[in-house]
Amino acid sequence: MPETDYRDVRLGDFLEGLTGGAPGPGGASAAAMTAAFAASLVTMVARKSADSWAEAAGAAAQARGLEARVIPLATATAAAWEAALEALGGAQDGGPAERNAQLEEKLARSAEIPLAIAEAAADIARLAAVVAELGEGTYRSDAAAAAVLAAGAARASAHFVAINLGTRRDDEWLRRAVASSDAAADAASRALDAGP
Amino acid sequence: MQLTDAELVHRCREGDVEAWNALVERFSRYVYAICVQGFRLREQDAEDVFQDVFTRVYERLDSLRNDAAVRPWIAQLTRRLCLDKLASGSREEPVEELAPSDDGAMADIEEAFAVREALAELPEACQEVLDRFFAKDESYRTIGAALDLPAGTIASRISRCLRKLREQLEGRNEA
Amino acid sequence: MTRATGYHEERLGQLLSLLRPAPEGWVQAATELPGARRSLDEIVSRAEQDIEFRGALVADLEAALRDEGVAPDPALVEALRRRFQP
Repeated sequence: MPETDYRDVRLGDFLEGLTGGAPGPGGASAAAMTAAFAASLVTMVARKSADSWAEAAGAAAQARGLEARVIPLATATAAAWEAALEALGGAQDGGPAERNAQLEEKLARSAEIPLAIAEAAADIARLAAVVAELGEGTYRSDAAAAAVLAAGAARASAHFVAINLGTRRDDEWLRRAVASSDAAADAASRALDAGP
Repeated sequence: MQLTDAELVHRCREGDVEAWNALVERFSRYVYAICVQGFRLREQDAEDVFQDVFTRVYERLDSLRNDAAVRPWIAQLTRRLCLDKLASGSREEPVEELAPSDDGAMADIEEAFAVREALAELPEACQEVLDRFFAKDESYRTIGAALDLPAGTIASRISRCLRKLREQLEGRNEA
Repeated sequence: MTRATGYHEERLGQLLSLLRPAPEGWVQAATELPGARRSLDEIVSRAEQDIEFRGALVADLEAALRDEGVAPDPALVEALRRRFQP
C-alpha cells in the first residue's frame, strides 16, 4: 500500500488500509487526503462561480494544482514513516555511526513530508477562504467546509512534524508547521464568517 | 526579446558560451519532462539520458540541417535515448515494443512547451508567480517572501496572471 | 466554458506543472560541456604529441590527470578511456 498512488485506490480499500497500521497509510496520509478532498471542493465552488467572479477560473486552477501536489504526499509519508520505523527497529547496515546517520536522515524525512502537507493544506484553506468570500452564493458553504477540512489537515500534519522531530523542538521545520496550522485556522475562521 | 531557436543555434555554433547556457536553459525542462513523465525513467537513468542528450546536442549541432527545427531534433534524440535506456534494462522485449509509457503525456509535453513560450512573453512578475506555484510547488508564503508580497495576495495574482496567459495564447491563435 | 483556443485556466495550470526544473546539478553539468570538451581536446592533443604523457594516461588515467592538475571528472575520464583504450 505505501507505494500505491492513492488516486488509483478504492476509497474502501484506503479506509481499510488505515485500520491496519503500518505498513500502510496512517494519520499523515489521512491528513493529506483530507486536504485533497478540501481542494476538490474548492475546485467545484470555483467552477460554479465562473459567471459571477472574474478570478474563479484561476482559483479552480490553483485548487487543482494543490490537489495534485498533496495526493502524492499521502503515499510518500506512509513510505517515509515505514522506513523510519524500520530504522528505529535497528534494521540498518553498517557501524553505529553510519546507522545513526541513516536513522537521522530517515527521521528527518518522516518530518519533512508532513511539513509539506501542512503547507499545502494551509494554502488550500487560504484559497477556500477567498472562494467562500467571493464565490457563487449557493456554494459558499462548501468552500467554508473545505477551509475547515484543510485547517484540520494542517493542524494534524503540524502535530506529526512535532512528533517526528522529537526533541528538536526549536527546529525551523516545526516553526513553519505551526505557522501553517495557524494560518489555516485563521482562514477557516474567515471562511465560516463569510456566510452565503 | 529572447533569441529564436535558430538564432540560438547559430550562436552556439560560433562558440558563444552564453548561447550554449541559454540553449541548455531553454530545453532542460523539456528533456527532463520527456525522461521522467513521458518514459517514466528512474532518477539515475533520467540523469544519464539527460547528460547524454546535451552531450550529443553539443557534439552534433553542426549536423543540424534546419536550425529552427532544433526542438523536434532534441525531442527525437531524447526519445531514442530513453528507449535505449529502457532496452538496456530489459533483456526480453525488443526495442520496437518499448513504446513510451504514456503517449498522452508526450503530446501534453509538446503543448506545455508552447504554453511556456507564451509565458515568456508575459511581464516578469507573472512569469515568476506562475512558475513558482505550478512548476516549483512553492507555497503562497514562500512565493510572497521571495517576491516581497503579502502571502494573502498571491492567489489573486496567480488568477490574474493565468488570465493574461490565456489571453496571450488566444492572441497567438488569432494571429 | 470552452473558448476558441480550447485553453482554460485549469488546463494552463496542468500544462505549466509538466515542465518542472531539472535538478540543478544536471543543468550545471550540461552547461559545463564546452569547458569539459576544451579540457578533453587539450589533453588529447598533448597525448598525441607527448609519448611519455600518453603512456602515463594509459597506465593510470585518473592519476595522470591529477598530476596535471585536472579534476578526474567521470565523463572526462570515460571519454579519454574510450580514446586511449589499447
